[in-house]
Amino acid sequence: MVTLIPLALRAMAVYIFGATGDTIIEKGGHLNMGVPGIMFIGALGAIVGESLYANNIPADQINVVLAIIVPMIFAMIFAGLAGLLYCFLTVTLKCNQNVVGLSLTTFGVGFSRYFIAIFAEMADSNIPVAGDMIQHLFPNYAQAGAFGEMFLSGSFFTYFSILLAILISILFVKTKVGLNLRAVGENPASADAAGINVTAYRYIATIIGSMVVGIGGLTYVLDLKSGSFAATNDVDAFGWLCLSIVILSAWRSWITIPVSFAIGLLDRLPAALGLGAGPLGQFIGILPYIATIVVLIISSAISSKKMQPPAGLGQNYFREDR
Amino acid sequence: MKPAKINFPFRIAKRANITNTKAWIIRGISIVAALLVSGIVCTLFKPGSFLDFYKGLVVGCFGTTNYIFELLCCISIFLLLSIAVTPAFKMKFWNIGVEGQAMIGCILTAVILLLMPSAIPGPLVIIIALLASVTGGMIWAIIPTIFKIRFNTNETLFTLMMNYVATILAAVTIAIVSPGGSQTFPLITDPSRLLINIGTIKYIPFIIVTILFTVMMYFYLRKTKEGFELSVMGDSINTARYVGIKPHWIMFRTMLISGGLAGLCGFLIVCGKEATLSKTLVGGRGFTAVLIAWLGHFNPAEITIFASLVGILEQGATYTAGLIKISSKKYFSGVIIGLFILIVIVSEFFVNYQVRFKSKNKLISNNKPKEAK
Repeated sequence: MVTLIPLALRAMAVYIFGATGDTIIEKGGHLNMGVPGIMFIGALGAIVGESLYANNIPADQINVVLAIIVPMIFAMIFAGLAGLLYCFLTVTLKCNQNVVGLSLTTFGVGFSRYFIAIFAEMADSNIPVAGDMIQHLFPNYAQAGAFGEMFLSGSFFTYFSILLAILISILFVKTKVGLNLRAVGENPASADAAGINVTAYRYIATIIGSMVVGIGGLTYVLDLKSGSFAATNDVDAFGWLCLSIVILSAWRSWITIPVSFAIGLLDRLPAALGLGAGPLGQFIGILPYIATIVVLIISSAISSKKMQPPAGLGQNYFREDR
Repeated sequence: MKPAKINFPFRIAKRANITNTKAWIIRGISIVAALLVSGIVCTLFKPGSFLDFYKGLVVGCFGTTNYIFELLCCISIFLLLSIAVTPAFKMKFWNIGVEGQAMIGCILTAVILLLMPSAIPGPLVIIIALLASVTGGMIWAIIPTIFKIRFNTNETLFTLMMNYVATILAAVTIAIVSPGGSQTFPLITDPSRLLINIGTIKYIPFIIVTILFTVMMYFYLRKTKEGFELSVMGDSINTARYVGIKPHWIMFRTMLISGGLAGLCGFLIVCGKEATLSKTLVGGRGFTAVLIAWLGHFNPAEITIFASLVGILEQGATYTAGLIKISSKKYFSGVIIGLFILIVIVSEFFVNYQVRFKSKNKLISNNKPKEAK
């Protein structure tokens, strides 16, 4: 238990960032299947930033704050650009969202894998050092006993992700901007008639959402994989799970916290139980997807208004079509 | 927050109609542009390799007879999967799950070919595997459909999740079957159970079956009552109801076809090409096939064109990467195909919409009635 929970928390942060970012995007009415690609591009951005920083600084002068901020800026810029591309194609050029999303995933995964492999070949020995420093936000966590080992050993990203998910939730419920964005996602035509700039909201929501997804990619590289570039190869698997977490949490970002933690636990359970790559260990991986399917069915069967996706999800808005 | 009012110097209007020739000119330009950009990207990765890229495409795809059949097989996988999703998309049913449906076909075929007792004659085993994989694909497609019909469950997300269930089932199967935790499925060696070669020519059964079903799908969609019903349903489900089409039955029937074809493709991938099972056997090609079907407007003839282009890029780019010694060449074709599809998607905008530039005079005269000529 003491070893399982910290590992689950690390995986949780990746899922929360991905799912929260995707929630922001989907609340604006975009079914973004490009999330796995965007997350991979974010991971690439983090790798570029970390390489630039760690390669130019002697090992003993690496500063934790800068080692987080520099790659984070890069991850956000890279993922934001991917989000901008998605938005340009879907909002301005009105292309089908599923198609653009899937092709962005194809492109993003190929593109990022390609460059990450190059960076992995010329990785500097300072980068794992930087990764190690990021691992724990509270270096003295062990003093708090088992509780500290379990819950205080996380990185900056672990706690930041929880905070962010709650903040985003509040933003949606309590602020005018959040309300407007929900209106844009539910019924863009009415929102437009009410004087909300649909195009601007969709652009901003998608770009900010993509940046958050990009931070998920960053967390994957620097925290989950301890800054090892060569191990960064299955970000897209996490991205796809994020799409299902959004459904499981019924488009509420604070619910992504427990859901992500549960999926993080499931992720780590086979290894912790010593099942390894055996049939049962592999089979546990099915559970998140089965759970998603069950939730999809239940929410549609009881047609609960609280669990429905945004009504305008997946539909582009063009004024002349009304 | 008051959004700033930006006055763009152009405006976008939907085209009322566009001639086929004009649409294909736009698409042709975008395809050429995509190929040029691919070459430029290749040059960026490896300076001075602009022409090598195209040389690699040609040599890697058409250099030897062997390459040509490799290429045809590569195209066949994309084409057959695209053909599988086409009828579903025609009625606006977003079957993203073709990847999983094909994977189920792969799993069943691999298990049956490997584990059937050797006393049973080869052709019989192949027929059993074929039936099992087609049925498996159908079941995988029909589960989301039933819930779509009954509860109107979102089929895009449902079929997407079914993909991962199938992929993990493949991993589970491999873990069960593989001896001693090697995590690799044993190679099926009995030649009487495989349909890879006829004589010395590789992959002929795969290619023939694909061509057959592409032609059949073309006539099914164009010339039969069933195909017409699909088009009506895709255009307007209410119109379909008024003329007496039963949408639920059509949906059920079409998804049986769609899933069955995907299962058939899975069968062919194992029995006609790879002779083994791995988690990445379909390897995202189901998603690419969805894109190809969309780019081809769900018309088998156009889909064949785009599937061929993607197949050529897939094989040619991989060959080029080896030719010009790009590092991490495994992923190069992914970059190129992603770029290609993104650029061609943009062309659809120019086919459907018109960009009119506003001149200053026009802005003023816009509101005035037109002068009589």
